[in-house]
Amino acid sequence: MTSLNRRTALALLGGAVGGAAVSLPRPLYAGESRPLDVVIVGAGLSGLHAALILQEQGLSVKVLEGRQRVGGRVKTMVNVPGLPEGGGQYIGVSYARVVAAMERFKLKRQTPDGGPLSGNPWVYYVGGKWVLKDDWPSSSVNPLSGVDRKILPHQLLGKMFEDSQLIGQSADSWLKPEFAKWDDLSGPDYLRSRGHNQATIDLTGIWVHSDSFDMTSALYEMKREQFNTIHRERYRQLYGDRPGMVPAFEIEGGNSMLPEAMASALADETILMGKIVCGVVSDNDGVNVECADGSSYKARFAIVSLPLPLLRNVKFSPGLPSPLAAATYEMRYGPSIRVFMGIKEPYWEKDGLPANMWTHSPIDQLTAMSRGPNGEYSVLHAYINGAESHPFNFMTDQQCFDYVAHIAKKMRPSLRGILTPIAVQSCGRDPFGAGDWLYWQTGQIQKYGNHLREGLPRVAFCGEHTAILERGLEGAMESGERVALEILTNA
Amino acid sequence: MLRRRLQIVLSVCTLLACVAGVDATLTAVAAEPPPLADAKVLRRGKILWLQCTACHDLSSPSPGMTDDATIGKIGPTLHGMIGRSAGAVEGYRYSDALRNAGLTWDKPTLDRWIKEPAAVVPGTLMAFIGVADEADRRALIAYLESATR
Repeated sequence: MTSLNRRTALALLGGAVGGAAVSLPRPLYAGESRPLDVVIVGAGLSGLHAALILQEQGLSVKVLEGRQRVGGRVKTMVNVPGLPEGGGQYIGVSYARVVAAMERFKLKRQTPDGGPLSGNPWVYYVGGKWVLKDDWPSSSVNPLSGVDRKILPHQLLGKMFEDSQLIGQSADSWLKPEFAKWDDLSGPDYLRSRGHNQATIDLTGIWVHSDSFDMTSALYEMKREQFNTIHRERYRQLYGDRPGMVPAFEIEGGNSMLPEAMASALADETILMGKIVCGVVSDNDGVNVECADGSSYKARFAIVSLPLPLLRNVKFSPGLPSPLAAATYEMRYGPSIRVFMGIKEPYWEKDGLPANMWTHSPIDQLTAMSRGPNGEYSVLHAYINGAESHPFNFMTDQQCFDYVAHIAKKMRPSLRGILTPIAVQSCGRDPFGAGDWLYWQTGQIQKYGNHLREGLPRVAFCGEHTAILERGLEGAMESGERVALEILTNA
Repeated sequence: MLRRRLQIVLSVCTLLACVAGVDATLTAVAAEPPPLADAKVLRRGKILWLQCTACHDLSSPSPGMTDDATIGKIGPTLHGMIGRSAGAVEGYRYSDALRNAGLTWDKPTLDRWIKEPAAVVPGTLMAFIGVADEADRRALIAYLESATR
């Protein structure tokens, strides 16, 4: 927004800024030809949050969405019993903006199903053996030493970074130069520098959500865990002694209820579906957003919420600032794939092991979802994230089912012949998606950390990848709020 | 011509909400003590207040926190905050860092706090990116002064 001519903008947008209370005439744009105040590209959480703020301040807003649904990476699996999440899942109790929106739209919380926060026990498959939680510290396949042997495999990634130099610092410290030296280190290098062996690094890497632990910035992992620590501390301080309160929750009826409620709160016909944006032409007077169907939308300002790699599919004129343009090619999103299968028989009764599995295998994690009929386990959810998800890139859905079932029954014979295909979901397999969330490779925080929020004349960029303090669903909301305020400031 | 331009500028200045960063000519013209200047600053403050509303509201007494059935906003109410001791809303569970900071929410303290909370009280649980612009901070504090009474 830097090259905005403020005087022009003041004159143009006077009426809108004051909201309904200041109803100035708009002589310059009377009638049908009056451009919109703001066009927003993308109806995920960030675009919707920005749209709500701006519309409530009296601005005219359109949201262009490529898909036939709102919510972006927030997607509840409506065809799977128990309505598990296919994307953004956890909502921390101190995700202030998400919690405030849920209160506003009277959405209820529910305890997460299946995963580590469900309270259901896990069994670990490491070194070709099943190990129960209580047996892990003394197990022969446990590669850790000393007190670290008590850390359960699914807790490793968090524990390895929970005492980093970022802990106790403010949440924007990851962008400060004094921490840049950890951006030059990879995650494994950082762990080696702290005396951890390769077996520990390999086991930690299973839960790393990037293409490879070796290319991930240690500072990014430090920041990710600092975020978790901050939210855990707020939970402990604010709600820790409340019965039934868990550190993170989901929305009753599915997380998609949130973007759907936000969309419903916008004025009629604010959101246009199936609009594939292919051009954004801007100057100091306004923006023209061009769609693949030949339609175009003139506005005083535009907000673009697309994930970085999708910005490559849009012709910006003038072009993107050079660091941002390079980032759209160099920066990557963590991949994952979710394979949902029906459970015909209670396999856990056959072999007496817990139903939830965390495995050092090509299929990472298998959780039994209990939110189905009668609260019984009815769906097995294979969640394969990071490097382990790459082999699935070239598989059809049927091949995904077959491969997961093959590996699963090889590890655990009680799973033989009892799994039925239901659904395959991946944010990266979606033509309107780029993956789950941006991760930072070594050196990239220094190179791009302060450049992803740089706009063009009258064009602002938002999306979870532009958040500073928050991550996940709350990061998306933070970024939507930021660009809405930018526009209200310049308008 | 010049008079006409001044008129336009003046009407823009008095009617618009947005004042931060307005260039020197505009400010100089607006410096003629118009009674509406306060309203203009308050409108700017009210826009800036939007980034506080995820965590805070202005109702009295504090919602949620003393009632196990509801959550309310995750920060304390700001009702009556100006001149009050920091960490004093009944029933709100402040961090030890803030409760023990010995601060009073007068305007100079608020200005430092809104600029960078973690610099004033290291260890505060409030997550806020801060308002870098001094005029914006004045506008936000002016709004808080009027709205939190």
